[in-house]
Amino acid sequence: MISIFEKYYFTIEKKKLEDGLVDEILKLSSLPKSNDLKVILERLSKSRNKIISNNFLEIIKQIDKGSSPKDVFEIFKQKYNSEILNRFLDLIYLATTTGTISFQDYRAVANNFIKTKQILDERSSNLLMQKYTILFASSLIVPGILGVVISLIKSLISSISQVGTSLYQVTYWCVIIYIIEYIVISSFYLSILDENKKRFIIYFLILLPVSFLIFFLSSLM
Amino acid sequence: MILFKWNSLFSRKNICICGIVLLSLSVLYFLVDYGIYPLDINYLFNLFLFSFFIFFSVTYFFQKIKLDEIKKKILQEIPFFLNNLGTDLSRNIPLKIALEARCDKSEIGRRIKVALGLVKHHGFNLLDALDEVSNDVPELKRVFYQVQDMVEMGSKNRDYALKTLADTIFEEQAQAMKRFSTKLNLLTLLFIVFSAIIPSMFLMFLLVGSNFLEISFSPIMIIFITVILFPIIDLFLLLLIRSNNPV
Repeated sequence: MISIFEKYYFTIEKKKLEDGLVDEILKLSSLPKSNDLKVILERLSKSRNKIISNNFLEIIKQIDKGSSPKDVFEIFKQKYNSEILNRFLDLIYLATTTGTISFQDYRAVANNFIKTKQILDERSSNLLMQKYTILFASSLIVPGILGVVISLIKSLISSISQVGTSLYQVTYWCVIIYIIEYIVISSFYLSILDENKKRFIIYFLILLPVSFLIFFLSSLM
Repeated sequence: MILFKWNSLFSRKNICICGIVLLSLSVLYFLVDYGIYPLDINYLFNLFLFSFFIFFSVTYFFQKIKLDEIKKKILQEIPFFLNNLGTDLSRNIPLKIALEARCDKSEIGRRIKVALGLVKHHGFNLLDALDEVSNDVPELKRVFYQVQDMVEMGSKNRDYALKTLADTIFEEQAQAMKRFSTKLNLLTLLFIVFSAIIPSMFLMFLLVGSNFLEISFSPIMIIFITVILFPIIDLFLLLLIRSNNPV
C-alpha cells in the first residue's frame, strides 16, 4: 500500500514537473542569449515551480562539484522517466554544446510540447475511463448481478422441484470460477494499462476479496 | 500501420507452446473421462479446434498490440523529429549530417542509424535507404517522402514544408484520439453487457429452460459456456479495446 501511495505522489510530481517545463521553455525563448548553460540553469533554478527549481538547484550543485552536465542530466532523466523532460534536457544540452539552437527553436519545441501534452492528456483520460469501468465492473457490477441471479435461482429451484438442486450446484460453482477468472483477466488488463505487470498481483489481491464479499452479500438477498 | 507478419504468428515457438497446451488438454480430458465423468470423443476434437483457434487469436492480439506500441512511439516522435530536421535544413546543413545528428535512442533515431548503415556498408542511395527502413510505417514513409521531395526540388523554404507536415500529423493524432473516445463508449458498454448481463441471462435461461421448457443441459455444457466461453469473450473484448487505442 505504501508503494502504491509513493507511486501515486510520484506521478503527481512528474505531472507538475511536465506542466512547469512548458512554461520554462517559453521563458527560455525570451532570453537574449540562449546558449549559455550557466544562465539557463540559474534561470531554471529560480523557477516558480518548486519541483523544477529544487531539481535544477541540485543539478547546479552537482556540476559545481565537478560532474559533467551530460551525466547529471542523465541521472535527472532516469529519476523521472519523462519524455518531455528528456527532450527538454537534450535541447538544453544541444543548445549549450553546439550553439545552434535559437529562441525560435525553443518556441517550436514549446509549441510541440503543448500539442503533445493535449494528445497525451486525452489519451490518459481514455485510459482512466477504461480503468474505472473495469474496476467498477469487476468489483461491483459482475459479482453483484451474478449474486442476485444465484439467489433468485436458489429460491425458485427450492420452490419448484428437487431435481434442479444438482443443476444449481454446478451453476453455483461455475459462477464462482467465472468470477475468479474475470478478476484474473481484469487485473491482467489493468496492469497492462498501468504499463507495470507487477501490479497484477496488487489488483488481484484487492479485487478478489471485494468481489467475493459483494457476491456473497448479494446472493443472500 | 506497422505490418503484421503472419509467419511470426506461426513461429516454431508458438507452435510448440500450442502443442503443449493441446497435450495438457488431452491429458486432462482422459483424466476426467476415466476418473470422474465419461465423455464423448467428439468433445476432445471440439476442444482441440477451439483451443487452437483461441491460442492463435490471443497470440495475434498480443503481437498486434506490441507492434502498435512501436507505431505509437514513432507517431509521437515524428513532430519533434520534423521540427528538428527542419531547423537544421533551414540553416543549410546537408541532409546527411542533419540525419546523423538525429541518431539518438528514439525509435526514429534507431531507424535512421540503420539507413545510414545501409548507405555506408551496402552502397544504398540515402533516399532509398530511408525508404527501406520506413517500409512498415506509412506515416514515417510519408515523412521521408517529403524529405526526398524537398531535397530533389532544392526548395528554399525547406523547414516550412516539414513544420507544416508536423502540424498535420499532430492534427491527425488529435482526431484519431477523439474518434477513439467515441468508440470507447460503445466498447465499454459492450464489455459490461458481455461480462455481466449475458452471463446472468444465460443462468436465468438455464433455470427456465430446465424447469419449464424441459430443455436438458449437460453439466459439461454449462461448465464450457460459463467457465471457458464467457471469460474468453471478456478477454477478447478487452484486447479489442486495447488494440484500438491510438497514439
